[in-house]
Amino acid sequence: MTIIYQSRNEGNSTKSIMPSTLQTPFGAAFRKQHFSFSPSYTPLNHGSYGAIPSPVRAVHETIRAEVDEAPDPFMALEIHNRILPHRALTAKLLNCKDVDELVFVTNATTGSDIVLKNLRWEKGDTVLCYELVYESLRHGLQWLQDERGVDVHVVRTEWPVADEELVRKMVEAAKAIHNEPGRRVKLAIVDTIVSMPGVRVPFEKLVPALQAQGALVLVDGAHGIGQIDVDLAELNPDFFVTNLHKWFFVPRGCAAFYVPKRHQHLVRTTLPTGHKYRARSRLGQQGDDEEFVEMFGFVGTDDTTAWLCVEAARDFRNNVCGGEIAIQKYCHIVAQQSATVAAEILGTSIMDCPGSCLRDCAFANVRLPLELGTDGRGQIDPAHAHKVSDWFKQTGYRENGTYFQTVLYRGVWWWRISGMVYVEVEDFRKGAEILKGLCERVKNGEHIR
Amino acid sequence: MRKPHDEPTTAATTVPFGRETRQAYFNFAASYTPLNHGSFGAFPTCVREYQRRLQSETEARPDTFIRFTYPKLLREARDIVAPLLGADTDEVVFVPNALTAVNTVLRNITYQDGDVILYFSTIYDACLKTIESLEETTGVEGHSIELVYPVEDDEILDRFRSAITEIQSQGRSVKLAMFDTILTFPGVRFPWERLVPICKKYGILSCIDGAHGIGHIDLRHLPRVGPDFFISNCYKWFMVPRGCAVLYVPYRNQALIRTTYPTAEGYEPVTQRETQSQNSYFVNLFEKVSTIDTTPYICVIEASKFRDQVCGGEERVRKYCISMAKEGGELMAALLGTNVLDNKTGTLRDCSFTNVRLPLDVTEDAGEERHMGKVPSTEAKAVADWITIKSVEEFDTFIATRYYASAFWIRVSSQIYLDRADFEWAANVLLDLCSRVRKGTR
Repeated sequence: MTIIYQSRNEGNSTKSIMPSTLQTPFGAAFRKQHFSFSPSYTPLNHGSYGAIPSPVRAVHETIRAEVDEAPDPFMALEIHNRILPHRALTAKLLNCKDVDELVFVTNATTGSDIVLKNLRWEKGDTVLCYELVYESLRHGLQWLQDERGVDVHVVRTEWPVADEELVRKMVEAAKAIHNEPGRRVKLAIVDTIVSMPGVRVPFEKLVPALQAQGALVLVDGAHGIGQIDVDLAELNPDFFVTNLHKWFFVPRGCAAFYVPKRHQHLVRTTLPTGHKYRARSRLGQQGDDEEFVEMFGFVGTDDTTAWLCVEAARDFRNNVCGGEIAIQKYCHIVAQQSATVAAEILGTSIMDCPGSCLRDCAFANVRLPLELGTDGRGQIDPAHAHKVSDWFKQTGYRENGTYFQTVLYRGVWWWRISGMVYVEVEDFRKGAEILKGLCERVKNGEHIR
Repeated sequence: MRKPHDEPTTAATTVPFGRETRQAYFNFAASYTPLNHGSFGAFPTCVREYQRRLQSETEARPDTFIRFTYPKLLREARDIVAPLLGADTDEVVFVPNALTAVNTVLRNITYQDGDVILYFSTIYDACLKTIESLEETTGVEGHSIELVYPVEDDEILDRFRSAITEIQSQGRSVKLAMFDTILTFPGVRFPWERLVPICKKYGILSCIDGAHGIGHIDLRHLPRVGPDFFISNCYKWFMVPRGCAVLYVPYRNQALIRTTYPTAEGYEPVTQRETQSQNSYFVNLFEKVSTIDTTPYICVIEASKFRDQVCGGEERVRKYCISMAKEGGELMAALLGTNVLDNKTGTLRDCSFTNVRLPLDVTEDAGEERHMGKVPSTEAKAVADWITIKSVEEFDTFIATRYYASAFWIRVSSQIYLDRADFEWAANVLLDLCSRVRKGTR
């Protein structure tokens, strides 16, 4: 079920969008009660690194203490069995019917890179993506170009863009590539939600449309579980990754990597290669069902106790937050309402267009009142434009304990805000006021000095 | 505001090594006897507290800690490990574990048909798997040099040279050789310093798997020995939490390392790389490799303080661990009526492991065992596993046991938190378990 953002005129009160059973309302009070942020820090950017509720952190520390008490028995004998229930829960949450199609990896980038580096690339193979593909993935594609001679076709599409238009452009690009002799789209990459700017993508339409063009589709759902509904059985992607340590409140270092059985033979090795890798000559000696999962269970010694916190995160979300729907609804709406307020204060607008699902998530992007140019009267000199975002980050934090996540995209600056159960519109109102002041200072060239 | 990572560690005290150190400084359950440090490491309470403070700081201000504070702490941590390898800070980067580092090196090398990766049969299992994976996807082939312990260093060198010659005579060429500082099983010192010059002579890249390295042996002579790549886990013998290893790449080789695994933000295509100085590309490459908990890297700062201030320094720790391994191993062998794994020159034992043979005989004759208390060879692996599991279930310890070269061997890891009494106790545990094996009552 997708939460469609409807009214933009609900005013500043978010009480109506919280479950009535909450002991502490979402927002600043909830933040103080259940999270460990410094009181002088305003967390408006959940999307980058997530945050761990105090009870989940306590569970994590308990597990780590248990490991410390007797490390070897835990690491050598116990941990692999203990991971299974959390994998099973994750599979259930994503409606992945077969738990053996879902494994944990450290983060989405690792999962994506495992796909890129495992596929066998031949001359004429092309990877298709759009211009907002995640930066690290773009680098992974660059590596494929450099090392494997793979072609990468980036569809230039300016956001905001209507869903139909986006799908049309991607499909047309795929067709055009297939029409060239000796070329084909081997892999297409789409997001559930793009990182910067933060925009939901019509992935439910893109996946089948691109599969119909003969491509394998990797869905980068880094921003996925916990923020929007993902139904893997319905979606049927060829590969899927999602970070649990972003929107699902699990400690850092936990992502789900989904590979349906029909494609598991394509993933020959984990990265790094681990104990359970099987050379081709030895494949099939064990039940095939177990090989893939087992391979991902032994990938070099690391601290994977975060993977054992999925149940605790789920419990917090259900028992303290009132459940997935309640959380998602609040996050979506507080983001959109806050964006409205911020846009008013900044005198600008929110990234949007008709027929697009881009705002149907917990992100919103507010345009900043800055222009590129060299008129010397407040325009931002392109030569120094790259310094602006960093200056906002550092100055905003230093002076006000607030971190602003901004991006210069196609000549326009956008502020990405992250809706979350621990923020409220007032937090973003204050943030907008601060950012407004910072923009004035940038117009005066303060970011250059 | 004074940052948690500025706080001084526990003041130097005179708590002796052994059981008292275990109780005073570590987090083991009181009933647990930690005899297997070499597998998963262990870290003192002060390091755990330090890690928690780092994690609290991260949660207090995630964006700013990760983006602004962390890079400075990372540099500080690298400044601390680099001298332990006799290296410059910019020749050393952190990765989550040795296996990642091994994969980073091996997968960044370009192989042609006819290229060979040379290694020994004692190679760590997952490293062998990495080579097998490369055999599948590149033109490289692995070549294993068989070693059965005990073996003399000179013999290792001879076999190494012979293998090179043999491979060359086949019209192939050894691109890279990989070998250990200290083997995993048996736990023995390996003559890596003497193999590197041979590699240099033949133009072979040398990649040292020093998983057992930092904190275990003195590595300050590393650049003088001059391997092309060196890898070490810090979460083992340097007492930081799991998820921390170092990769040393001398400046001359940094251009060979083009990507991390996974590829991340720092990766640049060749044309753009050349506009940066080589150093900064290599260092930048590893600074942010997707989101993981990197607090173990920073814990090097606190672990280093602990080892200096509380333990009296690296050399004092090494001396104790190595001599206790020797003494403890001999004691166990005496109690078990067996022997410690050693070679004629004693070089195998120049480390903190000891390998002691168990008083169990193996037979190929399935019928013989019932009357003679011998273990049929077909059951040997099961027996070894049983001993380990029983040591966990009944004795609250972990004794690494293997069937190797027709005998049963246990490997014990010496540490500053162990003393003679622990080795004696372990021997008695093993006497009990072996007696049950012989009686067939397992």
